[in-house]
Amino acid sequence: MKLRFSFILSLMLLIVGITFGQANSKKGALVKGKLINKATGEPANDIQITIPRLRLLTTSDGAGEFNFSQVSLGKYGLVVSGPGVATDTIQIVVNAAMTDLGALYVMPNDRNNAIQAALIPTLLLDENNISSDDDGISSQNVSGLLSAGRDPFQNTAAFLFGPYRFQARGYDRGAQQVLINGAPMNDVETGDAYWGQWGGLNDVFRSRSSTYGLEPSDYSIGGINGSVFFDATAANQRKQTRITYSNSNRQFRNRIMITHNTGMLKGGWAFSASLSKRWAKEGYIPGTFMDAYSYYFAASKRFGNKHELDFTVFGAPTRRGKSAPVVQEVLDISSNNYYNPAWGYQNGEKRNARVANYHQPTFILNYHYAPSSKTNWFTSLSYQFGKNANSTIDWYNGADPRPDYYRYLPSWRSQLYSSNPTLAAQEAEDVRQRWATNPSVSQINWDRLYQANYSNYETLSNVDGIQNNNFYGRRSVYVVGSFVDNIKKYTFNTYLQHAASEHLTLFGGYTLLSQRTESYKQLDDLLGGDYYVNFNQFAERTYIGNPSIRQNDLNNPNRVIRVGDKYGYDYNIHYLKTWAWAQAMFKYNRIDFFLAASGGINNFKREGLFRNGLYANNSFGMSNSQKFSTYMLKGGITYKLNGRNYLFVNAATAQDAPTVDNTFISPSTRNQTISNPTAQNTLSFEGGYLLKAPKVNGRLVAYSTDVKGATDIKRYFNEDYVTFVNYVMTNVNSRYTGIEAALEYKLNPAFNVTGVVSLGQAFFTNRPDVSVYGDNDTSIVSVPQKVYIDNYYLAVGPQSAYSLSVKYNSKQYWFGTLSFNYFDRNYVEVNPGRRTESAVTTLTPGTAEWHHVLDQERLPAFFTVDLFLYKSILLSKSFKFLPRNTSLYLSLGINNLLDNRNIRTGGFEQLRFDKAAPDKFPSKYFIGYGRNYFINISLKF
Amino acid sequence: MMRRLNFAIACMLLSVGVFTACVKKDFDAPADQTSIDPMLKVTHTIAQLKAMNGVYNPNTGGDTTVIGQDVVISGIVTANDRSGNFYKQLVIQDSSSAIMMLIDANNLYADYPVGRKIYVKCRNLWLGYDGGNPVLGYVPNEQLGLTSIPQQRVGDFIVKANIGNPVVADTVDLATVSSAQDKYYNRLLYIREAQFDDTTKSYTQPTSTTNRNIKDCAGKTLVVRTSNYSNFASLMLPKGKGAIMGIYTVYISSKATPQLVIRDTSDVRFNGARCGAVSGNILFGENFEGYSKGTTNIGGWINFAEVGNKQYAIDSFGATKYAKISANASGQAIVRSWLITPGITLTGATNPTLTFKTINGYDNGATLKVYISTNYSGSGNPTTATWTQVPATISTGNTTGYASTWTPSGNVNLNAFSGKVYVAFVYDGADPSTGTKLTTTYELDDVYVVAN
Repeated sequence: MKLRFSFILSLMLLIVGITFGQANSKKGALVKGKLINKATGEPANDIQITIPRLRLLTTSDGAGEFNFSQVSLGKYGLVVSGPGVATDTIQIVVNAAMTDLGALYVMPNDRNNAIQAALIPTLLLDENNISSDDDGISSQNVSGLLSAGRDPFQNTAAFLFGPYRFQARGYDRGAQQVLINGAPMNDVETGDAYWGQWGGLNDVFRSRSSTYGLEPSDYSIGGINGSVFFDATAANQRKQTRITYSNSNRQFRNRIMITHNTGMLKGGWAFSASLSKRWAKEGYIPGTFMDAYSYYFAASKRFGNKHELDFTVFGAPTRRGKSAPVVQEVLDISSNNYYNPAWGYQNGEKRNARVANYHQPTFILNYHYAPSSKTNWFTSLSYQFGKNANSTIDWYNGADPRPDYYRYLPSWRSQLYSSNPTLAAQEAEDVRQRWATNPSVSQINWDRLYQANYSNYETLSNVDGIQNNNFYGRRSVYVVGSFVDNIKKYTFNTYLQHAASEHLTLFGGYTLLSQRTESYKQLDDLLGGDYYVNFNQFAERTYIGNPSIRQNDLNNPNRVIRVGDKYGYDYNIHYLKTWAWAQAMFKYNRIDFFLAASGGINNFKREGLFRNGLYANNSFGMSNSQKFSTYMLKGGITYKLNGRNYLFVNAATAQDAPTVDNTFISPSTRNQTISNPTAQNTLSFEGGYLLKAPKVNGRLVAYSTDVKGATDIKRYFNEDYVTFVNYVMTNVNSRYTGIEAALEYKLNPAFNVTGVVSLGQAFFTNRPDVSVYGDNDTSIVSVPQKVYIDNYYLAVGPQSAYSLSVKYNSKQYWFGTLSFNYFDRNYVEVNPGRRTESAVTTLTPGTAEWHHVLDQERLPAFFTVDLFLYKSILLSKSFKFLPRNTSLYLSLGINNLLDNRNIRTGGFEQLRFDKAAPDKFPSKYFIGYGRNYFINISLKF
Repeated sequence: MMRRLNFAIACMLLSVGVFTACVKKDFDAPADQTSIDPMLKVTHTIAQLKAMNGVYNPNTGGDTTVIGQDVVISGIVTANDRSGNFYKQLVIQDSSSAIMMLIDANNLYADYPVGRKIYVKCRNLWLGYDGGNPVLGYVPNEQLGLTSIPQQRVGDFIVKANIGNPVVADTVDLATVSSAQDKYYNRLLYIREAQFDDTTKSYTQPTSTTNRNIKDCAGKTLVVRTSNYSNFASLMLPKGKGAIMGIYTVYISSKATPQLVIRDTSDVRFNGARCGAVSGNILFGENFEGYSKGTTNIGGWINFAEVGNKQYAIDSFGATKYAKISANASGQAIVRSWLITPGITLTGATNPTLTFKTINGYDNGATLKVYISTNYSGSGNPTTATWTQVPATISTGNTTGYASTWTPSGNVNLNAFSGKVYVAFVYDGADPSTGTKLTTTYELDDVYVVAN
């Protein structure tokens, strides 16, 4: 801690020293300006600005602002170009050491489209909304990097690497702060932002500004991986109507989007509406489907030129069938790398048991006050509510209904006959045959589940705890139930931007976030039965004959559970999170630097709504309040060798609260926390070289981030204890370090070549402590032991990624990009339980078996080719009866052109581990799509 | 402007139409097959099937036979793994016989509830023995036992038919099946009268499958075998007597041990009075099991030493407790002791009857007599009340030791009494330093007053 402060202090001194050292430099001028979209009057961000004569290039930021340093005095042509603006040359005069160009207006023009803007509609925003599956692995997003700016590295990482689980710097999603109209959208529990909440609204979520890494932003302090700010107010939507149809073979097959924006009307009003539907009877992966709608409505009202009020509401009710990762044996016997165990035929139709169903509408009210051109004050209030439900088959005293359960596979069958190899082979072959030919074996056998329920007449005694109050009927053995999170979230956010002098801009803000999340299981379908029970079958087996311990809710014992009822667990988490931040940004001709700090409180508590029979005295009612203080200190300096060559270094140190899931040992059952919940600390550096010139644009950046004192609780079936456990790892340290390089070169006006390399290392840097707590047995508490995972890699996608792209830009308003990508050093997620002393007691160090258990699997490297084509046609030119500027946009993206169907984008060792048979529960893998396409037709008028 | 807006509105309206296009959300439930009997042609009875295999030979580990022809049997499921007492086993029977099927799967009850009719296409299945008990399973293992039918193959052999068929048990007396009777192997038996021998225990020991004996009143026994994985394993054995159902199996080593395996505790209906105890409407009952050994403080009873300062005391032998009195070693010239029941209300009772049982020991002439009073105050000295002796059979004649069995009192009719009555057991003995000693020991148990 002390070290960190002294680090920041010395950084400040360094900055001050350099600043004064060069204060009198008269080598050139600092030129500032602000780009304004003439159509909306809003700032135009992400616009490329060049001074060709000086071979200088820069990009406008979220506020539309840009600057050039070390510009010799004189007259220049300033060229603006970029997504959605007409290329234009603006004459400027630089006549003072500090030249402020003021507002420069750019004309919107969709025909001249940057690749990134064209690509946006091809991304499915909710590809990332994959919640953690049964095995505790959360998958990586694709579109989290949609925030990519104009930087060639970020573009490549987002659009070419993203689909293959590449994670920028290996950070998780929570490292990036996401704001919509100023309202913080990151989930208060996981820190992730769920982009699916505005999926299908691509048209109105185009305008955004973002920062990467430790760069400073204008609207928040950001996370370790920066921030992204969407401006989705009506005032910021350009006047137009847009109708889009898309066709794809990814998660959805069809999409239509319709958007109408009035633009700013007389009287200061602006309205905007967008509707969309995305659907697929079956997506790329068998058994998956999609049925999603989105809506958006916004109104803005300007009062004079100093006040603006905005109201925005959006939501995306979505249902979609999911897939699940499987083990290699299953891939082999199904002869299909896209085998999906989540579905089965019901009356001849594919029914998926794992359905994500969510709808969490958001309401945002904004007030923007601009008393002068130097000061902006933004305030937002938001309210969000709704459910996020993920269904699965649940069962009570029934055979496991999952077709890929390990006992249903050839390996299990053959080991039953291990003394008779001939028979073993014959029996294994029998399973293989059935898998190959019989979907009622290889997929969920819904009919069997129904028939079992139809025939299971049983009496539930003492219903609701009333003696001799019995219920007779068909007790469902199998049901479909959902894990539901039902949120109510309120946020208040206010921040100020003030240009204190021509060199200094000050920022400050305050955020308050209050959320209540109710989590429970909900019964969706009795599958032909009359009722279900609210018993814990595992506790029942541990405590035979005890009628109260098995009750999931002692307050309502022996309840008859019907469709819509809550069962299993039910609890609230109450969050109260607040922080304030301030930032000072200094801009000089040769040097820019900034300092930022935030401090806050993160408060949460659990409120049990069920009295669990196992933890009768510690499950119902309010827990102790957990309170953590959080902070972040951040600073950085950019040194401009000249107008084209920049050196920069940024650093940050932060303290974050642990999540609820990593504080309460088992939030679903009890109020007990780990013995000493602690905040985790992060220390991050980045530094590098940027080259900004009209023909060449590149970067070379090195970074290193240490996260210390994290807690990670894994929950799974433990073979040693023969029950479900909470595996609490504390004091987990990890490091993320690496190099990012990108070079974009304009061969000529038509051809453009971009090369990108990302080489990272994300790994554990110590031996965490682990304690094991039983979940269905109050007696199990292990003695703490060490997990030997020092220097093992984190599973953060490919840690080496390379790309070479060639772009052809035609004067006939089309362009095409061909990309060659190579990925390597992708590691499966390790099971810490395999790296403990007790797990390897029977093995001899150094033997093949020893290595087999301990070594981390590295997934095969892979190569992909992607193609993208884009064309715009000004229809109103040919058809005069059409409204002016009626345009048609066509795009086609083909990913994985070579149709590689064995791309391992990720994997994880199952947490269930039998040390007597290490291969009994092997790793599961995620497989990337084979050749997949996206066609987009968009009509704008 | 207007044209543009109109077009936009038209598009929005169109989209509403598209958006509301019905996307199917619910699935039709599959048809309920539980009342459908596919009526396969049955070629063999279970008895005929079993006859295809040789008899069990304990020296070789059994006899196994693969069924090489198209044999189809049908049967009603009589037992499965619902309670966990059967594990990977299914028992089916027809009118001719019964057999146990070995299936390598858990939670068979969900597919094969008791009362479901099934057809078994037996070709390629094997007949064999599990410890002498006839089974139908899969290929033999090295010990010549059979392996279980692999889960995914089950559907090749078993065809499910309708559920809810009557499950018929063979009604027998314990005497009939206390020695191994092969015609009953795997059949569901209804044993009319039995009780657990030792009711102080639970169904199983915590960590192993456990045998408990049941007995009828004539002393015939049978093993009730229970898995410690059953969901009732830790429950206490019921104390009463009555009927019991279960699957009758056998374990043959040096001799054939028959055993009964219950499906769950609803098979055990031991609600009546135990052997020797009376049945009827119990107005009063005392078995002395609730008192600690040695105590003279016996619940609501009056334990009154009229002469000689000697009281009844609780004693035990084996698992049974009783009240005991003796003048032996008291050094008292005269011993007269009363043990009086709490008040028993006979009002409204039809044909009230008193029963109890006694054991005597070292009989040298002391007496135990039974008296009834209707005017005893309920506490203190009984001698001021009016007492009427009633005839009862008392254990006598064991001069050199204790009687080996209890002597039932016979039915003592109390029709002559009404209202609230007290029953007194009065002991008369003597242990003078010189002269005749009358020190016979009496043990008294199971005092009941019952009515019709």
